[in-house]
Amino acid sequence: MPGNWGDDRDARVPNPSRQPLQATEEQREAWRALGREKFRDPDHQRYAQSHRSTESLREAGKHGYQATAERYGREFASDLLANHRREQPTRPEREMQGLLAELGAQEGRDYQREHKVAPGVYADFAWPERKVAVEVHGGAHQAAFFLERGMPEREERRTAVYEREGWTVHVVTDRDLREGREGTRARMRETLAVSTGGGR
Amino acid sequence: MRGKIMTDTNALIVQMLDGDAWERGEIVIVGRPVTLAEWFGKLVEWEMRLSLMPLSRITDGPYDGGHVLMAVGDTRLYFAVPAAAIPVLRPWLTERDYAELLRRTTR
Repeated sequence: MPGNWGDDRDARVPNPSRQPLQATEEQREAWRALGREKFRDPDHQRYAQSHRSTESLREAGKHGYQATAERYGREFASDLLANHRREQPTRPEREMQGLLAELGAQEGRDYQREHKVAPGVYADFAWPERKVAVEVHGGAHQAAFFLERGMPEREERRTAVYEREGWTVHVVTDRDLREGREGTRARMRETLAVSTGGGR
Repeated sequence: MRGKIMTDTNALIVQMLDGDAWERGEIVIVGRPVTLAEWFGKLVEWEMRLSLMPLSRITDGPYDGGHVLMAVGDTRLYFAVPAAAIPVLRPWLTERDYAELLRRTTR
């Protein structure tokens, strides 16, 4: 039916500008390289980790750690917990974040939190390129209040893991952050200088 | 009181877990039995908040059907909480977390 749409509405004349774009092999390789680079980026890995399928996350919540580990892998399960810890810092961890910010260090860019050192062991603060970690300890008396029997020495076990993996670990307590802030600040400045290969 | 579920916070107990073991997925009870009332009292005193973790459901042992909850303040403590205590956890969790806790608990 003729109308006022123009002459060639039904003519089906191939329009060169509407042909699908064909990438050259060079362009394809450049895109692949970009993808590989992005995949190696720790930020992207964390993003991908936190955006697993809704189904797997919902199921994980409903079935608990063991069933989730069996279904999706132990690493997936412990990474989920680590992500949650990253979102829920303790007060001393927040203070450490503040102190690092004062020294110009930014999370994600200069250091990582809850960084996996070995399966099941995550550093509170980490400079992975230099294998330097900071563990922030606090609230020992609170844990002691609820304790019935002794826990195996957490620090000893963790220190052994760090050593085995070739990491240097510094321990900062809540007291260091509260009462000896200046000294801690100086220590952290030194740690940052070592971790970044230069001073700030 | 009609229409309300009453939970005796002195009758139910929670126990602290070995945090390191839990972070590896094992439930190892290291805490003495603490009543809910005492637990809540200490959480207030130490300004700790409760948080629902992505993997909280306990599927075995004395707390089967309950959950592992994380208390965060000066430190991070993990507690095994029985399913019967869930109704009184409502004011301690965000609305979203509480709804999620109920969803996970429904068999």
